[in-house]
Amino acid sequence: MNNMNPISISADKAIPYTRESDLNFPPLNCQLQSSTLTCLVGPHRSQLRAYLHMLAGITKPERGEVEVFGQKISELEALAWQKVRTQVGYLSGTSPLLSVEHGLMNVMLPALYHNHLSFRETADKARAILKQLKCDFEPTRYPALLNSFQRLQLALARALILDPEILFLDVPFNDLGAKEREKMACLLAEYKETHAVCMIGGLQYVRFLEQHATQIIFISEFKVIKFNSWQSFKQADDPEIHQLLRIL
Amino acid sequence: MHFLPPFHCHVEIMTFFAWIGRRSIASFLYVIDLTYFMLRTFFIWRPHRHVFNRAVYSVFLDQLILTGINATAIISFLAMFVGIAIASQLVFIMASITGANDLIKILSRLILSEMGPLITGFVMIGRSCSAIVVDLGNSKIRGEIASLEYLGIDIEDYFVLPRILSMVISQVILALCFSAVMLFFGMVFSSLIYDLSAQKSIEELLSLVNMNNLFRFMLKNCLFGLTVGTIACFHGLAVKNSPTQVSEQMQKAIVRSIVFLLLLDGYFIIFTL
Repeated sequence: MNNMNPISISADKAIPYTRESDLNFPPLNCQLQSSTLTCLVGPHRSQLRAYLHMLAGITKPERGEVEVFGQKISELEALAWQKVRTQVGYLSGTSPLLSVEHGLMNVMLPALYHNHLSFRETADKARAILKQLKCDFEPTRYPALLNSFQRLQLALARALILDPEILFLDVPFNDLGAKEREKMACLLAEYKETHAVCMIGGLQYVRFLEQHATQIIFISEFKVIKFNSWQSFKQADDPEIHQLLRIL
Repeated sequence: MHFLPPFHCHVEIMTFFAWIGRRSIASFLYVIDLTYFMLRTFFIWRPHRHVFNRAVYSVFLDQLILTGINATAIISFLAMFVGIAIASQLVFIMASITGANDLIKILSRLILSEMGPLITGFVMIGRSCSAIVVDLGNSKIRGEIASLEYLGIDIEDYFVLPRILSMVISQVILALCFSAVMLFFGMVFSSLIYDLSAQKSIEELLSLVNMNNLFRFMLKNCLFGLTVGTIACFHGLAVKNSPTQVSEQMQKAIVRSIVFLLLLDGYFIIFTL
């Protein structure tokens, strides 16, 4: 990993706050830098999601500290938290777009809410992002009339419209076919060149991790192990990792 | 005959009172929750908040069309029939009991102060309150609301505030429309059947409308809209993760809206008699 890159997010012995989980959560130390791709892997998806939410600043850590752009998440007030949210993009492969608004409006929504740009300027910006993401469909269609890849393209555009420094991906390859996974991987790899990306659900498309992952963090109930590439993760001498790789 | 021993009677009475106590506490806590929810929504307007936030404004306009404009036809239609069926009957009954002197006064009190706001309120509950609960509940189950929250969009600001405001505005305008249409058709129909001058009656009725009455009418409808809108949003967002909770919350919202509407109406009756 390139240590000269600015650090966007750092976790220091951080344990996520979880109310309804029987799992054990070990403390996490990590740093997310720009132009890197960090993937959290492990046997429990709910556990990984709790860590992802904590790193994204969505939830406060129960113990330890998470700093997002130099600001301690546990000390942020509502207004500051809302500002942080505009700098951190979040894309969920399972949570859909707002069904009552059409695609373009879904993309425009965060910009209309946070920025004071006019409706026309916001629409132009949204269309420019959709063009960058190679959306070849009419964006004014409602999400229910689009396929899963098109919906994901719109969700990615919505996450990017506020120009975030870092993008969090929650199972981005969920519900995608093989060809669509490849297309989505290309789009994400392009974004990763200049920004930080942190994701869960990378094991659904291992090839993406092989090519682009600069940090793999294995999290199980009692340990956190960091690797600097997919190759080193694969060669790890740990029974839990072996077991996870076996069931892939 | 089998009689329960005194000890058992005592236990059953105590259980009954305990149940009443628990229900009273639950109702009290519900009112506090609802009030807190409403205040939190309105305190969203802090100095940093642009009053006409474009995203919120767009939802507000959508809701105004759904709740208000789209309901105008059905409200007018309903008012016409209620006017013909009820107002004309009232005219007949009151004319035979009290004579024509008090007729207009009683009509203005009954139709403008009571029937207009109440019937409009019930239509709003059946039409818009249920729609809001289902809309918010389903959005919440599908994770649409959480994913917007992760992008820094305030839920109260984007989802709740425009719905409550549109409900208040719609209730006021629709109640006004309902009362006007109902009176007009009631009077016209009465004049056709009974020996009554519709024009004279309507003129007399309008002369009774003063600022005080108008203010009371507006205040009552504003409170009706505020209550129904708040209850609808509160129950819509109370849905957690199961689709069955949507119908459950919708039921609660409708029943509680009716109860609150009647309580508010009772309050106005007591303080305006």
